[in-house]
Amino acid sequence: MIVFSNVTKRFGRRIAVERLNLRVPPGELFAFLGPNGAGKTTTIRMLVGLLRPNEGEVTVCGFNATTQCREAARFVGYVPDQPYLYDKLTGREFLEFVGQLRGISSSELASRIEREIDRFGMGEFVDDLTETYSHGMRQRLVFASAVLHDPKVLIVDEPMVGLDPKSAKLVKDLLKAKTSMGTSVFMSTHTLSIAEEIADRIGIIHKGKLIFAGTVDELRALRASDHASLEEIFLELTDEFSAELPDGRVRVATGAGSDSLLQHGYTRESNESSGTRQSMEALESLSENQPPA
Amino acid sequence: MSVEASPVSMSGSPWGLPSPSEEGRAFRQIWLRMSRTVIRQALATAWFRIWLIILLGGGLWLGLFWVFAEGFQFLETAIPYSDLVEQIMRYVFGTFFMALMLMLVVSAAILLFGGLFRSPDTLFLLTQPVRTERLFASRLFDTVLLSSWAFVILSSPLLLGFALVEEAHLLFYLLMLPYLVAFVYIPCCVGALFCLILAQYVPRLKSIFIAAAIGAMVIVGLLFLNWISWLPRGDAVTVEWLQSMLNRLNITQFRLLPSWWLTTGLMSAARGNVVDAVMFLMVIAANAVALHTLCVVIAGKYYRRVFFRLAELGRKKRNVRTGLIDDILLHHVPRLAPATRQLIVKDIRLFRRDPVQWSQLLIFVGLLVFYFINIRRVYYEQFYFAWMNLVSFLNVAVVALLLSTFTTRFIFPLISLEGPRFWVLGLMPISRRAIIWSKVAFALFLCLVPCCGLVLLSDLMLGVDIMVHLAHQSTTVLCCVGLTAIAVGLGARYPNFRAVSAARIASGFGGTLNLVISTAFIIAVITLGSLPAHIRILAESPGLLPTVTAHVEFSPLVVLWFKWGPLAAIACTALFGGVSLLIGLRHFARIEF
Repeated sequence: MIVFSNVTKRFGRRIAVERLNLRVPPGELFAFLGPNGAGKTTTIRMLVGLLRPNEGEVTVCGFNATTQCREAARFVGYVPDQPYLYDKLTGREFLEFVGQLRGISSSELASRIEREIDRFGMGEFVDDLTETYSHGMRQRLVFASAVLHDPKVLIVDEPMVGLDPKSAKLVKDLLKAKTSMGTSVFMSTHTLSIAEEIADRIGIIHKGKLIFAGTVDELRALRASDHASLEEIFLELTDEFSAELPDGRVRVATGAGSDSLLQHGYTRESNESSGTRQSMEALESLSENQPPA
Repeated sequence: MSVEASPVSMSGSPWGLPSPSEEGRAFRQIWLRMSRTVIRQALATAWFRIWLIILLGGGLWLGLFWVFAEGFQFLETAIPYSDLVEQIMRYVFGTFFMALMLMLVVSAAILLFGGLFRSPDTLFLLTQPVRTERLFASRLFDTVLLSSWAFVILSSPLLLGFALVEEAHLLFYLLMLPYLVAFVYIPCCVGALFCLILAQYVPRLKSIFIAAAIGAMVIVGLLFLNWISWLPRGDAVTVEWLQSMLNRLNITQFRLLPSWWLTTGLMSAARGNVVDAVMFLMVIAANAVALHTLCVVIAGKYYRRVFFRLAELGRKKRNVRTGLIDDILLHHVPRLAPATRQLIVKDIRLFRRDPVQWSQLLIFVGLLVFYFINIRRVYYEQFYFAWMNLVSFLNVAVVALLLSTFTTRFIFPLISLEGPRFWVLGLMPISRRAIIWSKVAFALFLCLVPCCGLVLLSDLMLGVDIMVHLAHQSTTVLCCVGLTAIAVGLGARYPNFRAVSAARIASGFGGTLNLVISTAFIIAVITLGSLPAHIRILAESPGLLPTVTAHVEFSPLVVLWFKWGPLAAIACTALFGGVSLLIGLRHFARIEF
């Protein structure tokens, strides 16, 4: 499982992630949403040990991702948004290398490689050099390498970008299958429909703060009366300056489920003159106090 | 909020993490596989480049070997005291290896910085359960490998030249390679430690301190070079002069320097002194192993910390301003099509904002300026008037040859680099012909001023005749025009739109061909355009070079060359540049993106 405990990450004076508390239990697919520059990739880089938090800690299966990165990495499969492949290796050689680094015995490794080749339909190109691969082929190989060791935690950064419908379906099925087998999946995406389709829970990060974490239904419940789409709700939550209505009223961006909202005394629409800024401040305090899922 | 969770049992997985030896085997295996693929691909597709490298590299090596062997032979015959000869050779070796050692420290630090903190391969490996020590050791090995081949190629002609003249013992030949390989590890490890220290502390320092430190280092370096190379006028090639020179190089004979161990060990091996030769090899190898271990242990402890520290610095926002040159080109240059104007300004802006490009041009110009400024320390005119002419002539060739490497590395890839952005240019109301011409104009703008300035500086320092000034300037202009036209033309004929790195584009078939044609062009233009002026000077100075004078006076072919050489140089430029551009223009007009 993945646990973020009061995690803050700063780059110089800029705060990229602020007091993030989040827990992704085994068997859950958590979709991490947010506009560009919101802090999604920073969060993922802390999770895979490429960045250390300034405050708080990130643990993967109980191991600190910063100080025990090797132990933590053992349980993690990671698909980055811009994956690196060795140009001068074939797909099979790359999978062998990754398997060896993870300590899989040679006989076991051979059968696992065949399993992944079969699963991702890589038979036609797996023995070609990766420098000749298309984007879809590269993505399939990277997914294969990430799940080769049956990780307990799968971290996926923008998995659907540039994939054809068949590959996208393959990835979605894989993520669902892995979740059903007890793997925690942490997926960062911009594609709301994918999150809606396969995620058990979604989290929305904005300007480094987690402003919502809950199910899609909980998110929808915020705007149940006017049948707003997920996209509209997302935009409203993450666009503080466009929330002012023509009549001067302000829509309050909210999160963490309607119960939380009511507890904090928020309504969906407000006549308060200070409008959006106040609502965002309220949201910030909400995300700080938000309980884990 | 804090969420507690107990660690998953390590025995939960059916396998454990690999042992250090298994991990090492995995790294070795991919390294071998990738090397094999690179060699196989090079043999299959880049035979032209390989042969060219072998031919040019072999020629260079043989040339160096000949120079060193002749030099050692000269010492043997000119100096009757064998002790003094040996002392001089010790100093030559000591200086040579100490200089290379310092260069290796710097280059290893730079290479390792890229490998440890900027390489996408390293980012990938950091997300895998790889030991930090292993990752660091593999990067260090890559660095040693990259450094050692150049070191061996540079050192071997010197050492073999020495061995041939001194009739060295067989032991020398047996131990030479182990000595060099063990030695190269030491500066690389020192460079690695520097790299970690600099990465840890320097980015936190204020730019002003860094600039001051670099400035101080450069000044100290220049003062040191100045002190080393200073020669009292009028007392050259005397025993006192020689002793004064050797005294200045005493620093190279410091007993704790690895370069001294290498020199002493190799000279012992040459004399057949097995005990000393093996002992010094062991000293170097033991130090190399100790330093390697120290580096790996330190890196195991601190590398990730330094990596995190660098990663969290973030990027500074750069204030991008419009330059004066942009303004002049955009608003004050008449008879230039607006689209061409915009393209040139775009290329200038990209060049200005890419430190890799301008820093290389700066280094190229800076080193030559330093050399030309110090040129008069040798007092050529005092010894031989003809030498002064010869040196000034060779300086033009040096500038042109360095320019050809610059045009191959930076101008040739310009068209290829437009590939990914061609959707912008392709949709603009601008012809492809205009794109090519804009590149030529940009390249000319970039090359003409520094090259003509360098040649002028060299000629002023040497105090050459006005006729030579004119010949050199016109030859330099022709070289600039021809080389840029060749680079742009061949760049358009052999574009590589898949590669994103300019270095990779330049090292392909087209880049190699560009270098070859450029070299041929330089030889032709300089021989036709500049050499006649020198020969005329020599011919008008009777008694300096009697054979040449006689030759000039009597051969009708030389007279013809004399008369028509400059015109032939212009024709040659038109031919090389024109044909390359024509081929490039035609191909680029037909190309589909």
